[in-house]
Parts: sequence; C-alpha cells; structure tokens
Amino acid sequence: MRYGFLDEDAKKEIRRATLKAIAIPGYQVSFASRELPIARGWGTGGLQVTLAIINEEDCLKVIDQGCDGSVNAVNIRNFIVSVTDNQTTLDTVCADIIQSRHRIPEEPMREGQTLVLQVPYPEVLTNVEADSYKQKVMHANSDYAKLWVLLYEDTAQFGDSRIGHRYPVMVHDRYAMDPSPIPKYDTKKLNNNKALILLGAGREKKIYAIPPYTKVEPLKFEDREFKVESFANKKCARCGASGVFMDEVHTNEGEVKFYCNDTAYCDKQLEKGAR
Amino acid sequence: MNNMDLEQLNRQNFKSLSDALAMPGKITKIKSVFDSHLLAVANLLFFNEVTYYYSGDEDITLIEAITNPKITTIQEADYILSDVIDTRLILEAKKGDYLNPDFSATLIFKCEDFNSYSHLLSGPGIDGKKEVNLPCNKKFIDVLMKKNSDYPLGVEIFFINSIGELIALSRTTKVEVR
Ligand SMILES: [Zn+2]
Repeated sequence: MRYGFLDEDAKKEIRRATLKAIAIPGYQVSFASRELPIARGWGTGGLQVTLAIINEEDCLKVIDQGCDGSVNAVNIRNFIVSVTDNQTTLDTVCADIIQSRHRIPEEPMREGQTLVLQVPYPEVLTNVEADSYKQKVMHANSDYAKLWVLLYEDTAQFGDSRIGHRYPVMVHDRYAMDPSPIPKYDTKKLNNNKALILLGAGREKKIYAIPPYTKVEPLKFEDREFKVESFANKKCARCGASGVFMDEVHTNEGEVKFYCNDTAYCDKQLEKGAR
Repeated sequence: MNNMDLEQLNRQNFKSLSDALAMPGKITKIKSVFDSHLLAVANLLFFNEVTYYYSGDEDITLIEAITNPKITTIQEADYILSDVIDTRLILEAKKGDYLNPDFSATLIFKCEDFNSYSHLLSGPGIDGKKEVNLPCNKKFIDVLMKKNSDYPLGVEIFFINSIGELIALSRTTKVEVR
C-alpha cells in the first residue's frame, strides 16, 4: 500500500488547490478529484485533504462532532493509520493535524497545527442563489446583498437570524464563506486562530482555507449582538467544566444533564480534577 | 534514489511550502532533490495538469521527464522559476481574474541569502506586524505591491536561499520597506 493511499498526482492536485486556497482566504478553489472507494457519509473532502498533506512526522487526531470515539471518527482514524502508519492522539495539544466534522476543539490551537474540516455544503450562497455560475459572479464582485436580505428578513421576523449551525462568515473582509456545520459557539474561534484551517468538500470538489491570524467575522448587522449557544450556569455532569460547548442529555428519569461536547477536553478536565 | 524517496521528500517539502505561505515571513527548510532545492520544489509542484516557465541554468530535464508538466510562456505559466530575482517576471506573470483569482502564477526565486533588506510584513498569516529580512529592494517591493493591489488578483512569491531556506510572500501580504 502506498503511503497516504492517493497516488502522487492526485496529491499534487489537492496540494495545488490547497496552496491557492491559503493564498486567497475564504475563496473556494476547485480541484479535480478521483472517487475514493469510501462511502460518502465519511466526508471524503476532509479525508482527501488530510491524505494529501500528511507526512510521517504528523501526529493525527480525528473527531466527529467533538468526539474521538464515535464510529465515524474511529473508522476514519483507522483508515488513515492503515495507509500511513502514523501516530494518533486524542489530545488537541499534541496533534499536528486534526481532522474534524462539525466542531473546532475546545482547547486553543497553536501555530504549525492544521485543522481539516469536513464540509458537506461549501457554497454559502446556496440558500439565496441556486445557479452556480451566478454564485461565482457574486463572489467575484463581493456582492452579498442577497445574504444580507435574508439576514434582514430573519431579524425583522424573528428578532435574530434563524441560522444555528453553518453561520456565514466574512473572511479577510472579502469573501463570504460557509464555515461547515460548526455551532455558532465555534464561529469566534475562526477569527485570528493560530492554526491553519483547511476546509474540504468532496462531492463539490472544493477546498478553501483560513490561514493563521486571519480576520473572520460572522455576517451580522452592526447594531445586533452575535448570539451564540449559551450554557450559562451549566456544569458538565461528568467533569464539572463550565463555559464550554455542551450536549444536553435527557435521562430516562426525566432529568436534563449537560456534558462537554468535546470528549477529549472532558477527559482532560476529569484527569486534572482527579489529581 | 527510488520513487518512494521522492514522494517522501514531496510530503516533507509540501509542509515547508504550506507553512511558509500560510505564515508569510516564516522561514522553513526545503530538502534537496538531485542536490538542488529548486528542483525539489519543482518536483513537488509539477504534474501533468500544470504549466511552467524556467529561467536559469539548472538541469530541469529529469524532473520534467518524471513529472510531465507543460512548458509555456511567462504570461501563461502557473509556476515561474528563476535563478535570479527579476521584476520583469512579476510584471508579466498572470494574476487571475475576478471569477478565478486562482488562475494565477506562483513565482519561485533563487537567491544567495535573505539578509539584504529589512521589511515590515502584515496581513493574513502574520500576528500583527513582523520584521523580516528579504532579498528584495524597494523597486521589487513596489512592483509586487502594484501587482497585488487588485486583491483577490495577484501572485505568490517564494524565495529559496543557498542553504535551502524558504520564505514566502502571499498576495495578501503588505510589505513596507524599512
Ligand atoms: Zn466534561
């Protein structure tokens, strides 16, 4: 088996697109992709990016909705290890490459690390413009009037945007971008992050990026506060952490409990508490 | 040297290129191929879907034979490689269009070292402002800043020095001459 599964030309094509994506933050670079013999639900976009950039020295972490132990995360991690023999970790701090779906890790990332986000729908304009050529023209002109109209209508009707996950952001004051289905809670972590963030969409064959120290802002009206999911006064029922993104769990006894969504973070807090 | 070794070098060198471009002004290291850092970068970037133009004395024929890119003019090239720093290459390089700003050139210049001039960099990839030594004078910076003034149109530049160190300026990088 060749290292990283993909043949060298396939990697070169993804690397070419990745470098252009880094150079033009938030802009979707198209790339030619070969079909991977892997089911769609696995998020082939993120996987292809990871396989194209990984080398022997990289320690890998894979999470799915905050969890290293979910079936999806385990399968992807096992697959990458089977074709690279690389080291893996659950610890955000120790990882060189973190492949993730729907979350940015709770612990801050650092320079030199790469976060690869799997993207189901790369086009932020899909809901306001169906035609892909017109979408491209709107990006070319930085014309996001239709997004603003949608935002305005939501605000007028509901008092706030109805968008929960996948909240649109402006990157480097130029491109509107779909940040993948991360919660609004994670949106602020995109701004000025120290790590390189690469976003890969397999079906649409797009790669886009946020370099470290890049301005990323949620698309919102100036007089409106950007409200994120709040877990005020909530404590993790397992580790006792507060102020982090939590999952709400309803027990059979009718009780509501909260747990850290980032399981590796939760484990670490538990370990700290035990010591 | 067998094929596996070249692919391994590509993996390591890609990390250096990607880090350099993601953090303009940061110095990374290139491992050589056939005793050449320039050829190592060519081997990393070239494949049958890209075009290049090379101005210089290195024997690029073997890398070309292995990787199969198309040779073209300065104006058309995806990758422009040069043994010397030459502003004419920047002036003539393609900078993309508004629909496809990625249809633009990347320039790779060889140089002796980075010590010649001190510059102040800012923009994505840089934490505030960063003072960096670059092998390019004010005229070069003026030409580059003009080329990249129409963001998102523009070009990326890599410098490789004689000991295989790499430093990059992205199209978003603002450079002030000190
Ligand atoms: Zn917890």
